[in-house]
Amino acid sequence: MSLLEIKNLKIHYRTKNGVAEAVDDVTFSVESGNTLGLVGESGCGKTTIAKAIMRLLPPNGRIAEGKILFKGRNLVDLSMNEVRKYRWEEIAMISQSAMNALNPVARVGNQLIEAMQAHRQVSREEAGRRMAEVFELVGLSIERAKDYPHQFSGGMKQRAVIAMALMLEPELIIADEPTTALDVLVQAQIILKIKELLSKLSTAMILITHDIAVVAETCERMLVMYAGKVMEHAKTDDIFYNPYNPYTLGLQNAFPSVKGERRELISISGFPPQLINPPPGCRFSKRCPFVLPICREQEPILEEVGPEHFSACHRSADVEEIRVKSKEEKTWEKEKVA
Amino acid sequence: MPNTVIHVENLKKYFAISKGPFSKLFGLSDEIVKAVDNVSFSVDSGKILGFAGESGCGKTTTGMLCVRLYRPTEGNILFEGRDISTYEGSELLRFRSAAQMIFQDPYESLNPRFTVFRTVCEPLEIHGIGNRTEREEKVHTALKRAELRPPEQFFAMYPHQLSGGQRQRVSIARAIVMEPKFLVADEPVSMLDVSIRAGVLKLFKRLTVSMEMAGVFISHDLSFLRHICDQTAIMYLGRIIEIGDTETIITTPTHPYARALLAGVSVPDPRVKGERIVLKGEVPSAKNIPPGCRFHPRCYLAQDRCRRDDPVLEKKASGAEVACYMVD
Repeated sequence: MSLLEIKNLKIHYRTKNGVAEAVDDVTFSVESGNTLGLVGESGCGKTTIAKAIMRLLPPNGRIAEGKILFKGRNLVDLSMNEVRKYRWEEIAMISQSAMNALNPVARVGNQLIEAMQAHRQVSREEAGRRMAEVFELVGLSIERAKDYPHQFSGGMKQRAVIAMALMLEPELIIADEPTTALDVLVQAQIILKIKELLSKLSTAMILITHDIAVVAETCERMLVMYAGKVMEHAKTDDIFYNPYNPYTLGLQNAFPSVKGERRELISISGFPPQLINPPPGCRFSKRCPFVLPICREQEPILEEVGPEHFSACHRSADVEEIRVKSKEEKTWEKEKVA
Repeated sequence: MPNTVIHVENLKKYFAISKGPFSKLFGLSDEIVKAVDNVSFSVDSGKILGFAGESGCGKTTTGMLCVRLYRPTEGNILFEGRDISTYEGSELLRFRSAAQMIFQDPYESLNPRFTVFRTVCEPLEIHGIGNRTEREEKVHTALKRAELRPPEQFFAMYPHQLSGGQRQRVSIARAIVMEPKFLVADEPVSMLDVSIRAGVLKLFKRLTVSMEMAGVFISHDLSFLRHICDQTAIMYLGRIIEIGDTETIITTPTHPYARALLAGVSVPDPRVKGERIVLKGEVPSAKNIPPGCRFHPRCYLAQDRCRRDDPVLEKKASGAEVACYMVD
């Protein structure tokens, strides 16, 4: 049994213009101790999935269909009282701009202790001991526990938030853009820390980011999303070296690197479709240079194209040709500009 | 023959932080933040110089000084041979028509109540250029150059009707409508999605070359600089510590800080296993710059001399100019 299994998940947001299908028929699973990178651009639904797992969707958001099975239990059906038991205890979340999630008027150490006492019947001393442990795990000196958040640098605040997520020894950590707001060197430090922690602890992690470089470095598996859909799902190495989906190829073309040969960057023209009454067919079809008439009519299903490798594209059979052509800039040129 | 548009010499910008009336009463002086501390460089027309470094290193302040959004504390800024560092009033206004800046956040730098036409036309009005038809023509050309096609379609649109990429292109159109000679872009693509960043980066490069502007591109992300900058300067605590040909600095950085910075960049390739260089401590405050080489407290090569003397930029083996005693 997988630690986390998401089956045919659909999440809808009510808006004044209609219902937005933010996540549409998403299925994936995470095994104990594994790391999964959830990648995509703004609005692709990656954060919405994280919020649904934590049952933290805003009031206008609703899980319309599907299951979120955590150790076999469907989190979708739980009452808020039951939710409180697994949230933070078993699944912790490091949210976007977590650096601002700390209470500015409470000492950092106390915030960790209080978080633990809110969940477990433990003495202050015991919680204090655990706090010292996690402080050491993330590389913060215990003397700094008495400081207030404003006395911490950005990287230290981020480590404090990671420490807080580790307080209750969760089995799954969802990290939403944990390094995006940080400087290069601090980001590198946090990534090293996360990698070290994952190898030491048996915690599984879902890393949500737009930065495929961070995923390349930290995750075993990778899920590429576009406009609420899973486009491709495989081992990270396969996504980079054996990609099938035109969107994945486009994303790689557009991503700059400081290593290897300098190559021309190629952008994907156009922009994602609206999620309220999305057009029929593949959601990437409007921007895809390899589009066929069928792509505009029929939605491609996520099919197995290799061992543990899934891609949603009508043209998976032509992948060799698509890979070659996708490296040429003129393939992606279109009149309309994003 | 290279045509130097902007030449900066020993530029300094110090900010005084007032400690309040009580400290003044007791004769305590204000604290001084040395945001930019003796920086020199020049940019030729059609070329782009990139500035990289961590937050607080002074790269944005340098950019803002160059277009005179700040007045320098010391030093000269020569624009087409004339020193504009102390310009005021109408002289400054005239200089600004030739030097423009693009900011990071296209969601905040555009007035939400202005149509695209009004936004792009505003500089022409401020500088009193052309009549109604001429202005319309110039706005049309600027939007076309920024690849917002067909331009007429965008005239009446408001920022909220545009995507992030289109908004940044409107900012670019506004910056080039005066046909400036000098263009500074501060993190222009950081807020944009991956798939559209490349297009905006290339547009900046193309315009710099075709309109023969000198460009300055500021970013914390060295991989962006690699794709559009001819030269790159890496800053640390208000100083340039390495400057030279971009590809040289990206592939073979010399300064110990530049090496650590490059080693810290994640690479979009799971098979590349880079060695990270972990630096001691954190960037010190610009209020309190260490004596000697300002990088020495965190440096893994530091010797006695580095604690005592302040190194200046010198040409090293790679061809780049580097401020360090310990490397060749």
